[in-house]
Amino acid sequence: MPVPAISLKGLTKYYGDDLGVMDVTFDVFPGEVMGFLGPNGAGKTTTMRVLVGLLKSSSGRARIQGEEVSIYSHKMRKEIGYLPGSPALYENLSGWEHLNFLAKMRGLDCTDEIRSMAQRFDLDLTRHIKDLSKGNQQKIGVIQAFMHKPSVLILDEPTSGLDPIVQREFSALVDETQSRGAAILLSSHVLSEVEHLADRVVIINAGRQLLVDEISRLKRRTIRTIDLYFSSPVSANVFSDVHGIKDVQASGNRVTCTVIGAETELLRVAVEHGLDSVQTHESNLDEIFFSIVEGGDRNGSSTLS
Amino acid sequence: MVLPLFLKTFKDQRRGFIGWCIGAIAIISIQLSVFPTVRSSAEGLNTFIENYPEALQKIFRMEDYTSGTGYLSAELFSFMLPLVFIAVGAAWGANAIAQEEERRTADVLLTLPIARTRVLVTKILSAFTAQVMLALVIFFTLFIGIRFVDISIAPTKILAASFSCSLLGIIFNAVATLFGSIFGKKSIALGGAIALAFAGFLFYSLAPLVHTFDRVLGMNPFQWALGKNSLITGLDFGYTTRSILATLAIYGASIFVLRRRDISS
Repeated sequence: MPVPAISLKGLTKYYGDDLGVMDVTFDVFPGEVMGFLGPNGAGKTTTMRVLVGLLKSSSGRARIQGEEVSIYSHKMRKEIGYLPGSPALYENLSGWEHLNFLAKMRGLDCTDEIRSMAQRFDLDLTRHIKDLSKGNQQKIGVIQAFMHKPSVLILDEPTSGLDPIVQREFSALVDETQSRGAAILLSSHVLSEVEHLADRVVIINAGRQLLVDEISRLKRRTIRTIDLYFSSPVSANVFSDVHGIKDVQASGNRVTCTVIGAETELLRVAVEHGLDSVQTHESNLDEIFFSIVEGGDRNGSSTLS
Repeated sequence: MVLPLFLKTFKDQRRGFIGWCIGAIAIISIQLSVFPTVRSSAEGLNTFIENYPEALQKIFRMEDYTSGTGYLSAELFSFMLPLVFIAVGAAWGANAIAQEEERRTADVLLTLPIARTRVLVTKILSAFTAQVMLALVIFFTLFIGIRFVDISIAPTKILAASFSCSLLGIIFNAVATLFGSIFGKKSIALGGAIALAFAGFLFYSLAPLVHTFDRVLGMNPFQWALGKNSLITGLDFGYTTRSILATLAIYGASIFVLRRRDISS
């Protein structure tokens, strides 16, 4: 098992008496993209700000590349590329001045990386940041996070304000960065974006972690609606003993039901009664996300098998 | 110190700083241009000033108003120039951390692989350098200006008076930096430093009239910087040392607070 690039264990943060996050525990491994999902105020930004050393944790442990993270330790931040949730740009500077300043602060010359990424995102670096649109400001934020080729990227709502074409370019950049072995923790409200980019997801709500799972497994384990078409009318009672299905409704040659988990038993019984065809309505990640968050169960057991 | 941040801080503040320097030069030039009139009316003015309450004469250093040294001391070094130093110091202090937090740029600045202490020390050094530069601008303006109005003061005394004022600028820079480090709000940092400066000046000014204020005069930064007339006596070692130690303590408290504080979004 490789050493996790990001490791959180029982991370808890209180703001005075108010809970920020409680008992957040997950690892992100080198070469992995972890989606970090949750509604506004769920605790995503709090968790990320602890990881980059802006906030102190109240208890628990946060590590980057095996080193304990705290607001006192600054050396491990060399390994981190951070994109804050809100624009954090020196608006009186041009894009080039801003990025070059941050590179110099790191003791690096990132001229080539800055120019190549600006070209890739079709960004004019000569204009003052205050004169740029929100989308172009976000591009500068993305370049600032990636330009020094960090091994850990913590991206808070990275595609906010980016148009679809630039979002596609951003996805390609994430893929390339993942290919060179970087670990990426990426929060988003655009759930379909996480679905395309991430290998696994952490879901958090009201400061509490609900689950960590692979997206593919998550989708397999969730409720799907299935339409079964038969050569002749079939009664709903035929399926009453089949495990893992519910809401069975028969209408002429069609039977509709919802399935949790494997479909094997359902299909075996259906075939015995003259199954012609099957149509499955897959849950997309948005539906899964909302069902888990609304379920609120720590293990997501209200919706997951 | 982090050189790129030091240079950037200067670049960010350059317009305001140049404005204050021009303002200081203008104040000095205007006051110097009036001095020949004051000197030619010395007899009448002295009679007029003698009728002032003694306390007011002390507050505004008017005991020797018609001499060159006395005039500059009263018109420039009792209020106007200290005010310029305090304004520059408080503004730079409020910008050090509070402005970075308010504009959210602290999110990138404080997540770089640089300790918060180094970031703040760099900001403090840039503010200190600005105060030294302002003191030098005032020194050279006076050094050249007094020649046009036939005032004779030793350059070392002008330098001492300028640096005495910069002690005030630096200490209120430290106060604004501390408030900014604690609260992360520019308005509190600037307002707090200006309010304390105002209170300090009030206590210092009224000390000759109010016994209670006089008893705590030795703890007042205005007394440390202006209590002895540096234009006549040069820098006072005891008061200067007190001022420097107090400034270092306040800067130390700022670093202590910032190192431990959450930077909220």
